[in-house]
Amino acid sequence: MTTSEDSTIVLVQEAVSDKNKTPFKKNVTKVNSEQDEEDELIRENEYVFIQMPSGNIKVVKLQKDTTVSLGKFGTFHSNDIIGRHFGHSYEIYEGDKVKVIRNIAYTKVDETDANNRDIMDDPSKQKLSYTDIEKLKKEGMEGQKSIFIYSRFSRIFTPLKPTLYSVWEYFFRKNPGKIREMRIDTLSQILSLANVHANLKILVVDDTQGLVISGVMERLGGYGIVLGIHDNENHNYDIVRYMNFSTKANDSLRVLSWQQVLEKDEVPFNEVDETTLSENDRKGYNRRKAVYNKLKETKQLLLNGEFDGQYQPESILETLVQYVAGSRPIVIYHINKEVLVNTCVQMRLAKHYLNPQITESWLRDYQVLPGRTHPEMSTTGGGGYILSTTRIIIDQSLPSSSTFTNNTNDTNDNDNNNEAEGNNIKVEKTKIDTTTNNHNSSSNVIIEKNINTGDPRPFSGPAQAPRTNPQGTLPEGKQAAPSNRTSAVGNNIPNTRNFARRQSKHAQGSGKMLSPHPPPCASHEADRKD
Amino acid sequence: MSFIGYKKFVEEGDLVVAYLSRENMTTLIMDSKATYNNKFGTFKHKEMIGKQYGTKMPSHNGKGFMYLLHPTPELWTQVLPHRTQILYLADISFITAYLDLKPGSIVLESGTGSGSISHSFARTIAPHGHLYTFEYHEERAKIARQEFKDHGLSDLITIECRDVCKNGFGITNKVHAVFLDLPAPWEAIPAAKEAFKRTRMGKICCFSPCIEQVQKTCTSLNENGFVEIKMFECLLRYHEVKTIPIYTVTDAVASIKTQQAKKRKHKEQEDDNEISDELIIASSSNDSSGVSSNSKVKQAPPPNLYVSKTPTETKGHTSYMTFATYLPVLYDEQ
Repeated sequence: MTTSEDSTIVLVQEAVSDKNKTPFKKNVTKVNSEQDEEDELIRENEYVFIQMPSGNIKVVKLQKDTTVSLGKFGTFHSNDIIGRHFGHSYEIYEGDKVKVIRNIAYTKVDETDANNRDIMDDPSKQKLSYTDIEKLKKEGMEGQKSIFIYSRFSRIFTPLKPTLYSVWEYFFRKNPGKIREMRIDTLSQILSLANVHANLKILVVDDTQGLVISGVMERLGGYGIVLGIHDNENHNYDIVRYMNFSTKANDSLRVLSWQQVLEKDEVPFNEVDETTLSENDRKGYNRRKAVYNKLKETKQLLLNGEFDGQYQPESILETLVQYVAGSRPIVIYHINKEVLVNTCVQMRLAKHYLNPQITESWLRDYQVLPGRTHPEMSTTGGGGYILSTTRIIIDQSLPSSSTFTNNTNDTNDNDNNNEAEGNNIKVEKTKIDTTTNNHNSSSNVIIEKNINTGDPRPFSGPAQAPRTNPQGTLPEGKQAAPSNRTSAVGNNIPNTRNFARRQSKHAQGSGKMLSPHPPPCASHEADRKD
Repeated sequence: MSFIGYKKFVEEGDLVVAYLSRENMTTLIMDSKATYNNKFGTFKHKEMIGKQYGTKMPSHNGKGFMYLLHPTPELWTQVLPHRTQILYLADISFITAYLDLKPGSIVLESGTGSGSISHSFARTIAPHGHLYTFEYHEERAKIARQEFKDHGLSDLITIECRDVCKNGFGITNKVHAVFLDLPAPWEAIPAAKEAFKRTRMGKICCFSPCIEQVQKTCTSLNENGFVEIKMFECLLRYHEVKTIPIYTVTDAVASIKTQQAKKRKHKEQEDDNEISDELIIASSSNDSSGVSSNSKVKQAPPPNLYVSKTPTETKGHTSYMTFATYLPVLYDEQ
């Protein structure tokens, strides 16, 4: 170990002493391991990704006094790399001896390398003859600059530290289905949107073999609790173990099966409240978790809804939303947008979700070379969809609030509803039914809904979905605005009718007249008659 | 400590994000004597204090309401006073993940700008990590310092007014990750290299809007011994959800028939009354459509389909993210 090289910078010491303040449940060696973590040492009993000359990755759980085989690239003794820093490469020589060399793991694939630039410009320069390679092999790596090509024929391996990114990359390449094709940018957005940080209590329903749980646990850093709710009798958070979490970090993971979640509603757990602080066996553990749930101390919900069609996110939400405190984010992931679209609609109908939104992340990687910079020719097609919202509280003690609530049921998605309903009909013209809408008695009025989302309208008025807001009043300044009339021509007939129906409901509810339509659409109407 | 720890109830002195709509949010510092007015009415802070975060708060006159949200770095990004171009969710999240930030990370940032990503970084590296952030604009640095203080982040963030391109960071062998959002990041890369902790791998991200900047940055990263140089672009696409009815050909035929019936009526009426054309069209079409739509309402309503679409206009580019890996110094261990 080259601990002699450790910096003695004040801040680092502070940070370490901070860590030491927190009581460790286990033995004293923990303090050392925290220091190791700071330095990123290769440690025994931990998973390591070994990048081989071929570029492939071999996952190894390093045990002391063992020999690790890398197939045709040779073998090495685990002791030779345990205790060393991550970030270097190792060359196998004379059978199974290794020597530390400068990291070459990334050079091979690194096309932005200026050294490579020359090589790339003239393909003939890339070619090494057999004798060249043999010579290089004999001489070893020292002083060689042609790493780029040499590494393919070498016996050099590089231990890589499993991080959330590298673990994700490994599984995404190997078996994207296992992690529900969740791309790292999507995963990182889930962690951001769910505001995952230390000292949280967070609910996770994870069907990515523990990838999301791993991300959450890493961001908790051993502070706080992540409660994983799983399908089967035992969880299958397989990926978690590759992250080499400390005991402390692992302690932050609690699991419950759906059965336990639902059953505990029937059995009161208040009496074991006192035992929550003591370290119990697994059974007590579960009960403790149930108590946490029962006490509604669960602060935050990250719902990860890749449910294989077996479950609907709605049903999960229904079960879990009661445990989520006010103003806490709820995030749902699915690789199929349609599932989230349905959930989003359900959320809008319910009262306690603020502004549910579906987003899709778009990621593009580039080749950067002088004069030849462009996006990579092939890339991932998608990384999944996220539905995110915020839990809101309807305080019944606020009388005006509750009445107001009734009137403006889903005010929270004011904008959305305007878009949702407005888009549908925004360029339609209609003949207003005089029997249901006395106010629009002028004929051939073409009414458009205000779909200007830039207009802040926290109070639902008639521009809201009539379905949910029959008694809404028209807020000041809300006017039907002219909008793009080009898009929905194909739907004219049906939408016209639909619009008439909606509009009449509207007018009934609001008791106010919406602006008559400007001339352009009237001519549109004339066109249609022809 | 609101950005790095949740509270259940609103208390005096808290920073509350008042959510009026998706595009209209503002921040309030709870002061029991203060009142907040907007076009939806009057909101007394006194009445908000003691409520749960997330509460739907009616205005004093019952004219409207707003939501009292707990501040998060994500909300802050949407409400913060812009002093510079800021980073948004997609970029912030990806950078955080790629730089491998977690509780305990020691991070270097320049420039601070409006402090958007500083808040996210601080949230992620809490409770025992640290962020060193540098801003060369004196006034911005001053405001940001006050902001971090007000938000209870002073212990996590050290801010300094300094031109890092000229004078370096004054930090050596300390940090795990570096984030450079500068007009000329390549000028700061040699200093950034010095700042990395030498015994471990580190990651650097340079954030630049222009491709020319990226090329210069890549050259500099390469010259300074950084490896695994990669460049990404990340954007968010919104999918607006709506409900559309599904019509069939039968519906279309019915509609045409209605129109024909209407025309017929129209003619009959024209024959009957000799009033001005326009008025006739007006009243008659109203009448007839009233009848027809009534009859249609009686029919089974068309089935609804839940659909989504992307907005016609959306953000097309923020900045390029250039990443590279810092390799630990290789000591002769043989």
